[in-house]
Amino acid sequence: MEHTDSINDNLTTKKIIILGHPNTGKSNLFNVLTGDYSIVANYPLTTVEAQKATCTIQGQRFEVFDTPGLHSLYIHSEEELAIRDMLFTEKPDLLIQCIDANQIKQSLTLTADLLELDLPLIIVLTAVTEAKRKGMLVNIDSMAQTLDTPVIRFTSIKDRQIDKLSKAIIEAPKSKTCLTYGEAIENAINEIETSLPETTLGKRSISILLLEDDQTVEPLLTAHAPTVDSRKITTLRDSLSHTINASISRTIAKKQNQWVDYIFSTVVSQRDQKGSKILKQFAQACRHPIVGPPILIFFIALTYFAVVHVAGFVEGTISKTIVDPLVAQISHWLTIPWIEAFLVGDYGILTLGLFNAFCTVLPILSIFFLMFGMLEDIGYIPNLCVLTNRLFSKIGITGKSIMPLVLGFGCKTMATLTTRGLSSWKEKYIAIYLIAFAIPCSAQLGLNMAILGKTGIGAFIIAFSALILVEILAGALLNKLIKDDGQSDFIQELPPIRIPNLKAIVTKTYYRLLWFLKEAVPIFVIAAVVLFFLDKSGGLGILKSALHPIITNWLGLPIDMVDALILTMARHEAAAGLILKMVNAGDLTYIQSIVAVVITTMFVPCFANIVAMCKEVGLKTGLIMTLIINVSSFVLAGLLNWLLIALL
Amino acid sequence: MKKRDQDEYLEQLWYMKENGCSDIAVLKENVHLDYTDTMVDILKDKSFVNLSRESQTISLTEKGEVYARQVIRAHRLAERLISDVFGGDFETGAGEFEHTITPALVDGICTLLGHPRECPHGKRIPKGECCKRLATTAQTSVIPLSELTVGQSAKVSYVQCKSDQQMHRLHGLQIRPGVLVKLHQKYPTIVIECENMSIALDEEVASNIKVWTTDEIMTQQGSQKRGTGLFAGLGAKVRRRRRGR
Repeated sequence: MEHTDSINDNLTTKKIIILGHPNTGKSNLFNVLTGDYSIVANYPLTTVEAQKATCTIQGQRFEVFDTPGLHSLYIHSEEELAIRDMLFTEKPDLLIQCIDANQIKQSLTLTADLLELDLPLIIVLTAVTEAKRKGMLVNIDSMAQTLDTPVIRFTSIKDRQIDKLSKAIIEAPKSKTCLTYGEAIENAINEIETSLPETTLGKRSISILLLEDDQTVEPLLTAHAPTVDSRKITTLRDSLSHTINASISRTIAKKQNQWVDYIFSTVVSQRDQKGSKILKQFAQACRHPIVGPPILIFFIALTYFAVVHVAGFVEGTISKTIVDPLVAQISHWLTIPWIEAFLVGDYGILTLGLFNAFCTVLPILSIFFLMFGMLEDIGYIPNLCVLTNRLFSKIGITGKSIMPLVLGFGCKTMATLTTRGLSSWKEKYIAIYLIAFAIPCSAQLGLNMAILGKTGIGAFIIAFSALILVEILAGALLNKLIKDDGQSDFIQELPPIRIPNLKAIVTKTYYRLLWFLKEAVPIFVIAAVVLFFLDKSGGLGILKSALHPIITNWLGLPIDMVDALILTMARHEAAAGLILKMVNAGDLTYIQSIVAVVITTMFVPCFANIVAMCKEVGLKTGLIMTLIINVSSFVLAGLLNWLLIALL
Repeated sequence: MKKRDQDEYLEQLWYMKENGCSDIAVLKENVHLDYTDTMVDILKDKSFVNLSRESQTISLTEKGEVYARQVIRAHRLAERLISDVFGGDFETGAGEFEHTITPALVDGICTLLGHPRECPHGKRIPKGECCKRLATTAQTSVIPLSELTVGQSAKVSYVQCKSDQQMHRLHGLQIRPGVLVKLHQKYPTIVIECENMSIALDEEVASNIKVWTTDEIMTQQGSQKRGTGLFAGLGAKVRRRRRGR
């Protein structure tokens, strides 16, 4: 497959949308097709917003869309609605459905829906070997024949399969559904179909959704067929439900289920389950009320050890053997004091900017992302929502909002965006607030571990217990304050535990670090420059003496912590790097380093997170939330300081 | 007047009431039998209906409503039995009945029906195990999924959904009548396995998924699972402690 960017003007760009259930390898396929990289993980909700990239296959230019998980065209959440709307507005030329062979039956429901769209459909089957090991044999040829659509077995490694896929994409015959719902319903479908404009995409599909009285279909109707009389459809629906004397939705679902059963029994032969028993038992152990928590503690301890001892060692060595001599050498060469200060002083563009980013923060993040990537790849993280469900429900986090909160430990911005799947405002508010408040994102978590690791494991335990307590109290308080508006239900598919794939983890870590370098390093440098000039102009001094009562008297921190707080506003990692340096220099006591970590974790969520918050709850509410978070972080960190002084 | 005919009229009148309609013309159109005025008069004499020939309206009286409710209840329960429990198509009726039903279930129904000897056509029904034991309580019953024991498998009989949306969500995960599910754990969150996929559910959803269980299956699988499940014992301990509290 070529990934050329040359545009052949004679050809129009065709659109491909990749669809499928959560965690079926859509992003993986997208990466292989386009040569772009979209984060892959062994759990649902990895892709939050549709990604777009282009590729050229046999001279034809394609625009490929990667989408978040979709269960069926009948919508359960706003997120799924966005995908469905995209289907009808983007008018793709081709659909690719990813199906995990282990869960083929679940995916067939979506296949039934997609076939009704009357578009070319290609089915890409992933994890075939894994399914085979588990005793599920999928007959790919018979699947292609029964569904009358190309079915391609796919693993990212084999080129031959990609050739097959390319061929299928180029040929892409229109697929036809063979699923009918009985005379009465079919007549009604035809009646609506004929009233829709000729150009409408997926007429049959829209007609069925209208008959099923999908609440979200109204806007779709006004957008695509303003001429259709919705009252007429209501009448049609009523008379139909009278004729068949049953709920239309249920009757359609029933026919679909029968179809799924038929396809499944034709295509799959099951043998006794073999192998993978250990992995299955491990998955059960991870979720178990008694065995589960020790496993969680083990993983945290393992990560802690890797970050503190391995990364700490690397970082220390680099700093001792390269950075320190280099800085000494540079200041030796430079004779003009202000240039020296500008490059390697306290707020030097090199010391606080580049060296901080590359030599302090980067080694820690590399190790941490490797560990985190491994946990993601084996599919461990969603199991946490099983362990914490009951605890969360006590603090107002129920149902669907558990998963975003758990995902907050990965990236707070992404987690905030996944809350759009929540239908209850209360749940959404609480989840967004808690994600922004005391949950450290993965980068922050890694760096916090490194900072506290220098002080001792006790400090780590105290700081994180404090953060967890803050989170629980905040949740409980919000739960009391905000009015109930109905709970959503908690139905969460859990990914199978898999043996980690080293190559995939390394690739993912590489891209994460690349993004860090691209996004964060310039900010490190800019922040250093800003601090340098603030310092030189005397502004920093004024600020420090103004903040003295709060920083020194209330929080008990050295006044230089103001620098770190300013850096926090730019980028949390930069602040953590500075604090790390202060700890290394012995500038912070035991209590001070705990308070410093707690306040920088809670203080100002990163800029991207604030933008995501405003996007989800509106500008005003988002800003108010940020303000409340900032004020309470000072209050709480101060309380912690005094509590620790009293206790220790 | 035959009871069946009367039931049919009352049933249709109930549907009309549900749709907020009292037009005699609608009744005429929908009654599956030939509509007669005498039938309506009989119903009026029995004070089952309020009838007004001038305004062409007819509606159930309180007495009629009580009666019709029983008819509808029986009708719909029968539909449930055929469609949800036996996984058959209620439009084609009981035709697929004997193909989908398990022996344990047959015994349960036989017991409920008081071990009948003859079928409606007068032919002999072969005796089952339950008849020999003269069982008086059915060993098969429908319970919420949340009440299964850990490690136990059961067939879903029906799902009470909050909304069509939830139904589609559950059907998408293949949690639907006739499907075998296995309960993996109850605490801290219910986790089930269904068609090779592990799914975590909250208590409310799980208690609205009703499953068929039989005592025999329960003991067989229970003992098996306790043998193989590494952590089944631990879970049981937690449960006991919780109950103790």
